[in-house]
Amino acid sequence: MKALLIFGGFALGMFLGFYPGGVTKPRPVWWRTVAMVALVVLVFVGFGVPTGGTFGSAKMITMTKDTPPLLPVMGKVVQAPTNGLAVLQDSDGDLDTFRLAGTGMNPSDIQRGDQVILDARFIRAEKLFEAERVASVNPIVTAPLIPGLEERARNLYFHVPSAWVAQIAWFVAFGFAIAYLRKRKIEHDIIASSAAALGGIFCLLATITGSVWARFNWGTFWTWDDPRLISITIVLIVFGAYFALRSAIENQDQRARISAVYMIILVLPVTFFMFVYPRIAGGLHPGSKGDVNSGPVLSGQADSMNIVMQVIYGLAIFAFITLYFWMLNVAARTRLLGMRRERRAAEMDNREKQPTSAMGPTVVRL
Amino acid sequence: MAAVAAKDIRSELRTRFALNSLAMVAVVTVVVLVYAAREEVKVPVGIASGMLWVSMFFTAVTGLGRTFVSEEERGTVLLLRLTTSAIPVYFGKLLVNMLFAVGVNAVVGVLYLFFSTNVQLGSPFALLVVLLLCSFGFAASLTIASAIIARSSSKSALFPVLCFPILLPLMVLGIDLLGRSFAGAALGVMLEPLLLLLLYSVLVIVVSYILFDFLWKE
Repeated sequence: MKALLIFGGFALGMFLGFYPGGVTKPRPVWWRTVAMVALVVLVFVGFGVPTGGTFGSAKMITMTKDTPPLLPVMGKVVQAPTNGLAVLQDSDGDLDTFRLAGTGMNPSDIQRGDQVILDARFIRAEKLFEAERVASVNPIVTAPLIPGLEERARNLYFHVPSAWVAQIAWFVAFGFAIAYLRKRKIEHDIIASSAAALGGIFCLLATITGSVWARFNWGTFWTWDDPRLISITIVLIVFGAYFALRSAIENQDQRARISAVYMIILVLPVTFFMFVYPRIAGGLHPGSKGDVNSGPVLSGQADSMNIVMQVIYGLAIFAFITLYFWMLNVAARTRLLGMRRERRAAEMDNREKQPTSAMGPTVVRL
Repeated sequence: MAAVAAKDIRSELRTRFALNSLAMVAVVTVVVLVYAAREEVKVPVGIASGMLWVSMFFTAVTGLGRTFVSEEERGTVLLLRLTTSAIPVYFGKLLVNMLFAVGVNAVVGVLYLFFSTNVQLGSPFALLVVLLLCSFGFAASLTIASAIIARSSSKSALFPVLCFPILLPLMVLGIDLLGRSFAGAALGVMLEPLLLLLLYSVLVIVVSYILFDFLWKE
């Protein structure tokens, strides 16, 4: 199910990237609507779906902290509040007592039989939860509370898709570089370099979102202990080197040909750093050497992401890929138009320079 | 192929200018790096391997980048293009670069070990094997990078930038391997990264072989 959702989002995004009519055809209204709606929905559900943890995971998180943190825990009310105490049962079947301590909290907010998410602290000495406020009553969908990540897990929907799109961009650029060498159409070179430029932007986005995530999860913006951080630095350098080469060649056809060759060679180090190195070296990211699975996204284990997270993640992949292809479409079309205008201006220039005497004095120009 | 290689070696030996300046680059880089660490009682393994790698990188980039550039500068590239097809040219240049790389790395390695008295070399044989494989990888990556750079402007500034990405996997594996041989690991333990290094170099040669035609023909 998970593979289907994620692969579905990926495949649909890629399909819409090339349909209808290839990368450079203007996108129809329905296409733009779909992309826009996917992005807006992603932002809303990515931030909006409430987190509701089990009692066990909340206790696990509390164990690692000196002062008990306020955590969103979800349970079904099995005993309505009496004297400020309610009993809830979570999805694991655990029963726990909640003291409704918050000032803004009305005991009548909670009815017996309701599924509620309470922002609560676990008081170890008294072995009960102290609820501050009701976060949600009978939520339709909830995301799990992952110990170690908590609310920060939401970054999964933005950080990981940007990293994926950076890799996809790389392969799109690679494909069009090959196409250029085979067909020698300057359009292919323009698409390849636009794809690489956008890939660089998404690479930067992945670095920034990852750096912020690292600050609040690992305690530092940057570390050399993780191979993926080394990889992303290197991939950024690779994008930079490609554009340094492009800027150093004047002739358009020569630039297209040589940078296509360079792009194809660069696939070797990029593949090494994106796919081989992070898995042979130990690190902090999921899926490193010594990790039991290949990370929460790709792992076959069912419990590493719940169904809601899987759906949102599939949507995120889809939204990011369509956004990328939309940007690529606009960038490539703008550059193609610019090229055509220059070409036409050059033609006009030539026509003006031609001697008109042989043709007679009247030259009608449109 | 052999003819191209022989021609290149002859012309390099005839001027000796490039060889002399290359030797000076090796000496200067090694001396600067070793001098910087002279007050350390014992240089840690990680630093020692990094220093050796930096010396190798800069010397190789200075020396091996010239293959196609010098052809372009002397104006002999057109003649070569007329008389020889792409494949012998590529493999001839690769052969010369391999010889050069082995020579350069040997010189840098010997100089480095001679000057740095505060570095302990655990297993010399492992270092020898690693240096040989690194030379192979250097030659493979720098030959194609040199072919790419030959047609662009501001060659000397761009070349290190351009070959750095291609050399990066070698760097990551190479520094690790150098460090391990300084620390005295047996060759058998390093088999996996050594094979990966070799595989990467071979892949670079295969891809260069496929692509060289596009660079050579106008």
